[in-house]
Amino acid sequence: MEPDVPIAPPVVAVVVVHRPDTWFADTLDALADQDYPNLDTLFLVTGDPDVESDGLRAMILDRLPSAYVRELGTNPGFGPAANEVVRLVEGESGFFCFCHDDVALEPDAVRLLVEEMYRSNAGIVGPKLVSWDDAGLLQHVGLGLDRFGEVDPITEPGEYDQEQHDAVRDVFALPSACLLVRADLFRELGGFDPAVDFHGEDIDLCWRAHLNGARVVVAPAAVARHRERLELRRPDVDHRVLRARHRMRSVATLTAGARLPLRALEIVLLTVAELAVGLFSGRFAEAWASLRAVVGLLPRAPSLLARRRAVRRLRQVPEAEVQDLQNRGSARLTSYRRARDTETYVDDGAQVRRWRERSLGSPMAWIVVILAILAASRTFIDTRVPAVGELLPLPDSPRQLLGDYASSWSPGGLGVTSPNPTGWAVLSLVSVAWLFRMGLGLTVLVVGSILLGAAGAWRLAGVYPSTRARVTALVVYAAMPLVPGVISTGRSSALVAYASAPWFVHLVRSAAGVGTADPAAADIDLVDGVLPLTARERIRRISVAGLAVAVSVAFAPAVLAMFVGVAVVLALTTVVAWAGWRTAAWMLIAGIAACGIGWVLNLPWSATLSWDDVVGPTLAGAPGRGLADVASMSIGEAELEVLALALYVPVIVALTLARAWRLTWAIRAAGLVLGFGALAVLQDRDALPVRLPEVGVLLAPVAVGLAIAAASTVAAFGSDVRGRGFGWRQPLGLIGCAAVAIGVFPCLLSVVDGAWFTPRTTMTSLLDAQLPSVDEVGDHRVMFVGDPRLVPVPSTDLGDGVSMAVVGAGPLMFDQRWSPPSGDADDVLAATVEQIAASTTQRGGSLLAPFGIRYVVVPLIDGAVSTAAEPVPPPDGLLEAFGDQLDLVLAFAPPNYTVFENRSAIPTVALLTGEAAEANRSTSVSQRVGADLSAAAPVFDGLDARSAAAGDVDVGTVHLAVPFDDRWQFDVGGDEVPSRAGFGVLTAYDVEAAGEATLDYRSSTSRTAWLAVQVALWLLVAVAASRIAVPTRLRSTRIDDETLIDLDADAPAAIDTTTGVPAAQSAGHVGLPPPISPTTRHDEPSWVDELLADDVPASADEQERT
Amino acid sequence: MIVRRIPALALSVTAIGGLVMAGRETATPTAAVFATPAATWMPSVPAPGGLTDTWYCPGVPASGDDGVGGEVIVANRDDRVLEARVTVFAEAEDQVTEELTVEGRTRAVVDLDELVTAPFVSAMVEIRGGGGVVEQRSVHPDGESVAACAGATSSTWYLADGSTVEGNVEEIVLTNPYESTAIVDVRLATADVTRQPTELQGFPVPARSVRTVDLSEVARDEEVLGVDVVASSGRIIVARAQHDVGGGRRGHSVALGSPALRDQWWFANGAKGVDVDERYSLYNPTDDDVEVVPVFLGIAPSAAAALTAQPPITVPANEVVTLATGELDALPDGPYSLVFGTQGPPSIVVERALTRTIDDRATTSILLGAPPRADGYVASTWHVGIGPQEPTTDALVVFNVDNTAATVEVRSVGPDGSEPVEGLEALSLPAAGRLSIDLTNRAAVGRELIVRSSSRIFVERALRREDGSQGRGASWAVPAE
Repeated sequence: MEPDVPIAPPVVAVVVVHRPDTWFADTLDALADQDYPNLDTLFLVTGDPDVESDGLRAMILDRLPSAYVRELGTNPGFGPAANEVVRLVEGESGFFCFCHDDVALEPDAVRLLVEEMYRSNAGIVGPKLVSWDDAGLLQHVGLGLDRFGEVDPITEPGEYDQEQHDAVRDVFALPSACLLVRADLFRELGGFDPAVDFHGEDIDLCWRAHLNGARVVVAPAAVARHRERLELRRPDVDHRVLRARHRMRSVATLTAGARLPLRALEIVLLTVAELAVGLFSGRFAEAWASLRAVVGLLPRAPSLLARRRAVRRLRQVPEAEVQDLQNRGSARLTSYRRARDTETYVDDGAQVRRWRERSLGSPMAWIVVILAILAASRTFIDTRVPAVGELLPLPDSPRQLLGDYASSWSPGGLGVTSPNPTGWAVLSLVSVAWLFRMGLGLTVLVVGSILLGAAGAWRLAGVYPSTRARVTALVVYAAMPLVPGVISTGRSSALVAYASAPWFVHLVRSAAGVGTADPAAADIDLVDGVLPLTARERIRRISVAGLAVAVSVAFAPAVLAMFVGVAVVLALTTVVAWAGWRTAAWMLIAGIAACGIGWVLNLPWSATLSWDDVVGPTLAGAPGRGLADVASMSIGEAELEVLALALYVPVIVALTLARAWRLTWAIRAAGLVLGFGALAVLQDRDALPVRLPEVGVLLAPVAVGLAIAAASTVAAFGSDVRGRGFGWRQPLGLIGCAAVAIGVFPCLLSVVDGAWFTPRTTMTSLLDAQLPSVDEVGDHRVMFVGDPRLVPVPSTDLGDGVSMAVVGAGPLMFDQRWSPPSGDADDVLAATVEQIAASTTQRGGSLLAPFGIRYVVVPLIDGAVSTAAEPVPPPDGLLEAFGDQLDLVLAFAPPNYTVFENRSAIPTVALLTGEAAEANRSTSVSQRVGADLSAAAPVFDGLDARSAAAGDVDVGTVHLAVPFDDRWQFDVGGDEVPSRAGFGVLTAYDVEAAGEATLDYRSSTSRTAWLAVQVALWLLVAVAASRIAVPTRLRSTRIDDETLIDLDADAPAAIDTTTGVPAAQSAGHVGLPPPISPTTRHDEPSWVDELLADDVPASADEQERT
Repeated sequence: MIVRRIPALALSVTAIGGLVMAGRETATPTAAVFATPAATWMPSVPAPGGLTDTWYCPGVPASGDDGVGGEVIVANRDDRVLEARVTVFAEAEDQVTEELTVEGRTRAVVDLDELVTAPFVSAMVEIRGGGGVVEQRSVHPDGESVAACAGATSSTWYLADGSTVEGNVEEIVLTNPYESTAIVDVRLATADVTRQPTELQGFPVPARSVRTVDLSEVARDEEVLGVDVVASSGRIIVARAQHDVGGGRRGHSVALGSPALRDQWWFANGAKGVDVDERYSLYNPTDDDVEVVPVFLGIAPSAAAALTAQPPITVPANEVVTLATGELDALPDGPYSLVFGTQGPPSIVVERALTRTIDDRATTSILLGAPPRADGYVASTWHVGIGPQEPTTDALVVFNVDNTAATVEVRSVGPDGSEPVEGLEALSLPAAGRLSIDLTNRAAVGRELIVRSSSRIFVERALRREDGSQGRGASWAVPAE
């Protein structure tokens, strides 16, 4: 009896097998269980036949007795191996179902695919691929592709199958893991690209199918489980490189010729951008592979052109139609955006991915915070940041600043051969951010620091999977009274501390493996979402923290001490919170290691820093702000800061209400608040045995703690209080939330002020206007003496709350805020000032003169720390002692400062004769005091260590007011004049014959070496901080298909290109099964043949063949 | 209840409590100290170790007239050679500078009126490496006077006893040794009124110059005239040149003012007698009345008790009160010592004008009282840079501040160094008593003298005037710091 239904069209399941494992049994079982009535199976076994045991064949035949097993001998890759089917299977009226050996089809999969093939009149059909281990986890439902060959996976990693992708639809490509192809189409297309061994053969095939006018459809009703662990099975293959190379090959060979030039340009630009972004996003390796692939196209141009010629005959549809099928824009960007919809959380030692809480709160909060900060800084943006405290104008030339950094001459103070601050280099390099408009730079730095700090708080608050909590942390940190306090008094170190403190905590917790805990884990009181990190990843994260510390320390060494303290507090509080000693230890190790890296990266400059340089000069005693002022961070000009005391309420509330990891972070926050708060209070009372950085720096971790505590309170209120029965928790939670609202209120006043309460007229700007310039009085120096809080540059401690600093002539600049190294000459200068203090002479000017000091400035009211309303009194006896000097003239005495002019001053570079020359040779101060130095004529005006100075000099003594340094070379008439110590500690040259002279500074070669070492260290840490993979081991042995995966090879070497058969086989191989002929296997014409004849338009070649 | 929150809560609450307890009282800010300003005191010999010692002399007339002039004497008690620079200031701003070398154990004299001719000149002596004592002698036909030079400038100066009555001329000599102009305000006070002459407000004293102000032009016929000079800008030296021709006084003297008010003023060599007219002028430039108690010393206990029983002297604010000792019945004739004291803050300045009539000719000497240093220090060693030029009795009067008996030694600095003057090696000084020393030994003549005591003392110098004038000029020796 004839069947009443057409015979099912023949399907040949082609399985490429390569050293399978135990799971292969599932694959075989799945094929054996297929309910499709006309299914043959062909197993193409790759690898060394001597190695592949007979057990594999037996295993296959045991489950599928009718299966054909073909041993290829080598491993040419999936595509080339699968192409064997063209030779081994004859006829065109059937289908090839290509499968990986790690795919397990559902019993109805082949049938459903064939049905959908006919229903959709498709050329290629693929199933829904799900996880091998968890069938509820989606793997692929087809693939999207953009015009650059980038794959859009459509599904997200870890996406659960909720039937959201169960509609049949056209896709651009299907994974080769399992796809059903019309046999004739496969032959028409020439099979898989034989040059593509792994990765991309499916894309290329489907793309050619589209060019040929065939549909590619996913049939989600058909399901297959897929292990998809090629990278683990083939560790000898550089998958990243192959992916990029084959992607580029497909784009280069399948893009229409008219569009190719533009596409090539786009790809080059995209690759460059990818490199830049990859450096910071951890995808540098992919970007590097892309670059290699782009460059690698050039030597492959002949084979690519041949391939394009081969493909040209396939083009049946306009290119525009194919392009319409591709993703608009960038698939990578689309994928990234889609990834933002989910987030990875840490459960009890494992990662889980869950849908992100979608809320407008985050963008709205950021918009409000940014607008508020910009509004509060509007005066800075309109005009400039006033020169208050350490916030001095940036140097005019970043290139010159970079040159100064590279020089071994440190021009600060009296000048000395010493390493210069790394911050100069950093500042110079980041000037590109403001397009070298240095006037704008300071504004960017100040406003950017606030935003950076807020961003750090936001990132740190990422430990909370709650948008509300993160917004709270962001707003509270941005609204800290510390910000106006720091800016209004020009505390740049404290500003750096504010910007970096939350980042440090964030990076340390990240390096310790503490991530965002899974919200669902709160029920089990998960103390921390700790994820085990690989050593490589931990080193990377510590390196990132180290880089952050290095940059911070480059600008403000004081933060290093603060960071160490933060690491210790985090570790201790982690122990107190019972969050595990391992986590605590890692936090301590990561923090200390980051600090160590930060210090090392600033070598050799950091080695020159003393503790005094780090913490600054001491005050006479307690500043006497009081507990309330310190606690409310009222360290500058701000208003209603007392309301900020309300922010301390959440510290206790969070400890009381929070559970799970929220409690852990509440404890850490309390530790930061109370630990550093105690230090700040004790320092304010001058009750500490050691000197610490100024209070602004100490309060930065307090601010971080308050922000985290507020976030914990809000998070706890949302998760641990709401929904519970009414009790004491609800009112307490409300009080905590209300306290947060009250605490951030004072920031509104900063917004109203528009300039962070900075003074409109500052002492520094007045000084710049009043002190004569170099052009007027020649090269000279200015000495500041007074209360260290008012001296606008780092100063030397003279004791009893008095400090001094020496600066060059001209406006004060930002690069002068770094402590200059001190030496013997500085000690002598300090001793001179002490002589004046002791009233042992009334000719102090003559003692200051050799140092080139023409003006002595006593700062009184800087408008920030000291105001007209609340002036800081000048040190007792200071004005009197200097006023008592007969050769110091009271030049200016406005309210802001008192300036004495030194009438005995001589230029910093001068030719001395007569009594002045004799005084220069004297070694005793008592011999020099009161000496008549009027016979000093300026020479080499505008001397600069950057370049040689030339001029005529007469007989006499050339005095150079820098510490004795034989790196200064002085030539007269071409002959070098030996240097000697002048005035005891300075540099002098005795000129015995007049002539043309040059004075030049020879930079140290060791400085150059150090620069190279420092750059190398930064690069090393940067590489460690990036995700760039550095090959650490070579392949132990060569494998058979070594030449096939040779990245530079034109075609698989092991393939006989004339037959498409592996070379080993072309020579003949025993045990070959007879070719399968789908068309002859069954005598009767099948209904599929009929359908094919009716519905599928034959190609021109087919018609011709017919 | 999650157990692990308990230790955290306990620690936090404890820490907060501790912080509140520790910070409940705001720490008092400590003032920064650059220098402890040298307490304004009477001219004194600085301690050794200075890089330079600068002496500011009050000024001498140098008009070029016969018999008018002045000199600066630099006494070197050390073995080493002193190198000094003498700068002579006059009204013109182009001062004269002269390098000076003083051999060891000698004295050098700089004749100022030979260097510069001007109504008044003053000298500034800078000694490199310190050491030495600098004093000046002012010479005038109506009398010469010796005064020590000041070791420091000041922005305030006070003078209590001046007179413009019956042709007396009181001039204040303002010396500005600095490179910038000083601006001063001069205020005058009499027994019943205070004046601030407009022309003397904001009065400029140009840099490195001397200005003189004749007070008789702005305050005529004043029996007693107190003066205070306040520099609103700069620091100066203020002296008074008093030329008395009437009012029962006669003489010419130049002396430093007081740079500060005090609560104690000592006089070692007071006198009451038939031919003596002694007047103490007490000036209170403050805005509060002051009660001053004079304590007479070195007199009979009964007389002292009677004087002590008298009510204190009230010195009204901004006024000058005089005390004529001749009117004190309880005070016996003869020499005595006297100290004026107040209970309040330093608020007065006291000067003594002592007129002796010898052979119907009055001779007046004016002496500013000697105060202890602000920290209470009173020296036990005093230097006499200018001693008698010929043997003189009662040349020095020593008063023992301490209430214990002491021993006094007078040494002279000669070619062989500092040696005790024969007969003056160990003089007994009664407790809280006075001692008059005769300098009749030739070894004590024409040399620098050093008076040392085992107790704290004040040493007043009574030098006989040169020929042409009579009587003695009163001045203090120079205490050692």
